[in-house]
Amino acid sequence: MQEEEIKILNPEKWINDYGDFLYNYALSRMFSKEQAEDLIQETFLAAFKSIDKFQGQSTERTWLVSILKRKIVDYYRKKARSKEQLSDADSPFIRDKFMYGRWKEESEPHDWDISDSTLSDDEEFIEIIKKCISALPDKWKSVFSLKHIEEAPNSEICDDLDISESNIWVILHRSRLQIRQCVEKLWFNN
Amino acid sequence: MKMMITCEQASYLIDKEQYTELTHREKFNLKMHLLSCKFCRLYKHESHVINDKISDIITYNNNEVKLDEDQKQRLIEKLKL
Repeated sequence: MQEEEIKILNPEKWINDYGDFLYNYALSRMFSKEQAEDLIQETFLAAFKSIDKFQGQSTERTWLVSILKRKIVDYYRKKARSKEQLSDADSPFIRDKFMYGRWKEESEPHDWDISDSTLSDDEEFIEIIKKCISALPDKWKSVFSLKHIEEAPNSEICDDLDISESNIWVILHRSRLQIRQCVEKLWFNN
Repeated sequence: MKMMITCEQASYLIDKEQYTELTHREKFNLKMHLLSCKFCRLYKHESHVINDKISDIITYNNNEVKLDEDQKQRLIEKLKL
C-alpha cells in the first residue's frame, strides 16, 4: 500500500499505469476521441486536487474510474439541458393525412440480409454505430447516453434534466430511428 | 381499422419495449401491426441488433485502444502545471 501512495504523486507513472484503461472507459461512453481525452485530463486533474481524500479503501484505479464516470455523467447532463427543439421536418414518417405515420419511401428499413454472428465480430460495424451516435443532436445524444450508461429509470432522468417522461421516450425513439438509418446508410453504401 | 396503429406508433413501441414493459394493449396493437407490416418487422430486428451492440460497446472495455505518445505527453504537461 505504501508503494501505491508514492505512485499516486507521480503523474507520469499515473498516466502510464491507468491512462489506457481510463481512455478506453471514456471512449466507449463518449463515442469521440477528443472528448474522451478531454475528460480523462479533467479526471486526472480532479484526482490530483483531491488526493488527500483518497482513503485507500478502493484501489487507485477504481477511485479514478469513479471520478471519470461522474465527469461523463455531468458532461451529458449539461448538454442535455440545451434548448434544442424536436423538429418534425426530419421525421422518417409521412405527414400527409392519408398515409399519415407510414414510413417515407426513402426511410423504409431494408433487409440487412446478414447474420447476427457476422455483425457481432465486426469492428467496422461497431465503429459505424459509434459514428452514428456521435452524429445525433447534442440533446438526443445526451439523453440517449445517460439512459444507456446509467441505466437510470426515466423518472430520475426527468428530474435531473427537467424533461417530461413522454419527451424522454420520444427522444430515445427519435435517436434510435436516426441511428438505425445512419448505420444502414454507412454500412451498406460502401 | 381505427384500432390499427401506424408505423410511427409501432416503431415507437418497438423502441420503448427495449427499455420497459409495454401494457397489454400496447403489446396487442404492436403484434397486430407487425403481422401485416414488413418494414416494421425489419425495424424491430435491426433495432435489437443495434441495441445489443451498444450494450457491448458500453459494458465491455477492450483495452486494445491505447493513448498514443502525443496524447500522453499532452496529459503529462497539463498535470505538471
